[in-house]
Amino acid sequence: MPLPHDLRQLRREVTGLVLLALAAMVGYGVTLGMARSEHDTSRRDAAAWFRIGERQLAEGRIDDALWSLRRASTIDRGDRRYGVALGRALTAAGRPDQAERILRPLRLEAPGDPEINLELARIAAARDAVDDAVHFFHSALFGVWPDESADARTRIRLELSGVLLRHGRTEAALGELAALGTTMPDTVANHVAAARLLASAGDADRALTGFRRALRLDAEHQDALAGAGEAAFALGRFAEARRLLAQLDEPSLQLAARRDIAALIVSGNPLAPRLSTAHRRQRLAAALDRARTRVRDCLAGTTLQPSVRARLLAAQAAAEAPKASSRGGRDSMERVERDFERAYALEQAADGVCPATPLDAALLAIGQRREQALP
Amino acid sequence: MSEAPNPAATPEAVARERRVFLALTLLIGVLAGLSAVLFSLSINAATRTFFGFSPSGWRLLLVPPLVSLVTGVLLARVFPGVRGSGVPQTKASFHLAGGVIPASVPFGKFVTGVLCIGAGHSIGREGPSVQIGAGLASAIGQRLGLSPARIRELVPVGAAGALSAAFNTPVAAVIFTLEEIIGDMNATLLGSTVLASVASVIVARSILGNEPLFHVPEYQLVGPAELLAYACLGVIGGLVSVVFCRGLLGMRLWFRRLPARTATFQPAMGGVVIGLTLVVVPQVMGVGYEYVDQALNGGLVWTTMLTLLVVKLGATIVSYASGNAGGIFAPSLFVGAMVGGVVGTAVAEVAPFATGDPGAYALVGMGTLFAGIIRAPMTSVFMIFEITQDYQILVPLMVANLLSLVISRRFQPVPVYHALLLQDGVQLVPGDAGASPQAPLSR
Repeated sequence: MPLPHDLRQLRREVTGLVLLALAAMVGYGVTLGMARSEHDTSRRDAAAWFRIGERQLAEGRIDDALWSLRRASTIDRGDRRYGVALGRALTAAGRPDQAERILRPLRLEAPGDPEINLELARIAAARDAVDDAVHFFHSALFGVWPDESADARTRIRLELSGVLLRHGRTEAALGELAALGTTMPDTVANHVAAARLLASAGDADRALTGFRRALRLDAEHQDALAGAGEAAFALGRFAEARRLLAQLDEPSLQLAARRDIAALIVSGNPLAPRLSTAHRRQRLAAALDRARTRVRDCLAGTTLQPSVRARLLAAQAAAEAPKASSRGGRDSMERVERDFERAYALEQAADGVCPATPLDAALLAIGQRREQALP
Repeated sequence: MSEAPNPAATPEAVARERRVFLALTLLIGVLAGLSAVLFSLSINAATRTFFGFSPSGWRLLLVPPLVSLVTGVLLARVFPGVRGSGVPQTKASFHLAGGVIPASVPFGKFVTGVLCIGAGHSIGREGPSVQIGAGLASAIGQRLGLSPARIRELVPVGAAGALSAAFNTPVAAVIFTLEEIIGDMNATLLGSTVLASVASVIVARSILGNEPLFHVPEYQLVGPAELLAYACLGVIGGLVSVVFCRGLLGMRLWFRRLPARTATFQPAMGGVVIGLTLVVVPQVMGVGYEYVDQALNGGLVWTTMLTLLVVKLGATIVSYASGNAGGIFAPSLFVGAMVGGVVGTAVAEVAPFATGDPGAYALVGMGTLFAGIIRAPMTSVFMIFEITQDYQILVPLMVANLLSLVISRRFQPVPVYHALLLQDGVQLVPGDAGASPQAPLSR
């Protein structure tokens, strides 16, 4: 018996809907599979662009790197590494505003991500927003590093110290360097970097200690030798400075001059202890003679300003004036010191105005060191 | 849900038909969403197949014309109704053909769309998605033996579902369907389109995740004076819209006037031009959303944006006018972002007041060109809002949209979709009046 029209229509519609539902389920499965495959391929593409971009960045091809890293971060937005790398490249390209626009939203997603905080810290530092920089540096320091690397934290603290020093916050920088303490991995690079910062902060004593630690690990490390030599020189340890700087294979002009000055100080310091009277007198005479010659030659020039000339003449007159104590003929240490003061006064007057030789620099250094030692 | 009762039917039959229609709306939403997602994924796969990871110059030069030779045959001989965007054809089907779309249309549009866009033509995937979704809905309705009124009602349902998934913008999809396909913001089909749009976007998000189409920083109006700058953007956007529409229609007319025997080869002619273009400016390949994203995030310098604006405009005109299967949604957003980026950079240089980032202008520029070219200002506003989730940008967007729309209307009185249909000999009057359903709907 044939079904009524309504029932046939109903059966047709229900069958149709069921078939459609089945088709939708199959279609969903197919589409989902294809989407996952597409997702995997996109991730691979993004990773490849990322690698290319990192390589280009390392090679200094900033524009190419920007192109590649943008592709990576656009293709796979889920991987924050690409955004961070793009931010780094933008900063390197001198576009910190754009870098910040990329990194800020990433930080909202992952406030503790050390890489993001580090990049933001660098941008803030470049903008002279030191407080922001310190905040981001600390966030990076206390963030969770993938391998819990003390090395990474050391690098950040060193970088932060450098930023603080560049912005005149010496005390804070010294505090950060002190915080490195025993957690800093015992490597030459770390010791040299920390010691350099200490030297920049004016703490030559701790800088020398740091450079010595580096030299214990690698006795011929050129940067450590140079830094240690400079620090020793600043501390007035001229013999040690000469010894350290003499070990440099290819010293810069400045370091070579420093080495020569240190050598001259060691060989010509009239105030050095344990010298015979004759030897001391000989050194003193040489020092005084050199200082007088320098001023005399300088005055013979025609380009001096009147005020400078007057100052030099006054110093020359003071140096030539007979001293009451010298008439006694006693060759005491007191007399030696007074005579050296005359040479030092001449050198001070000529400093920065008259041409100088390494011996002049040595005499000045001896005088400055003596002044520092005086109560 | 709309009402389309048959006066002769029993109350039970009417109630049953409503329930079936409701279930069908949901299912069509799901299927339209799936079709849009699958279409997008297939285009990506085709692009990768044709061009590889980092294409050589030869590949860029040769792929578009060679693939277009194949699509030319398909478009001329196998699927003649699937050239171009698909939105005008869908409108015409809804208004003139009782919503009847042959089952071959969505299939043909899918295949040719994947090939054309995958081969690097500078056209978009959203228009084709609309035609695929609408075609699927119509074919299902016909297959199930629904009444002609119900079949017609399913067309905007499928269109809304597809567009919702294609853009991940469910509200804008509904507004577009009402504004552009139905042509009546008070249409009784609102409930059905909303349902399909929601079902579709849920499916799409469950597959692709809830990622917005573009990642945009929070932009806002810096000060009231900046509205002047956005007004300038609206004017410039309107003028660029007119250039785009006139260029597109003019070149399409030129292609149509070529001897009929060349129709098979016209897409390949466009392919030759696109191949040469891609060798020099590969960024204009395909949909190009990657570069829109970069412009929105301030990642492109103004010279690059100006170059992309000019080249994309020309490439889209050539790709579309030569009869390839693809839409103008994506190109209008691309060109708009570049216009906005260039204007934003210029404003930042010369304005005596504080201005926002060029990325903010690129965002508003997208909406401005969309309003000027597609003539769907409400869709534009809602779409940008759904993309950005940011109220702050809406005021400048509305100002710029309004001016763009006024200028576009002034210099290009016939909207581009209507003008395209007119070139095909179809006179479209909303409300079904005065047109021949037999008029050719190709291209």
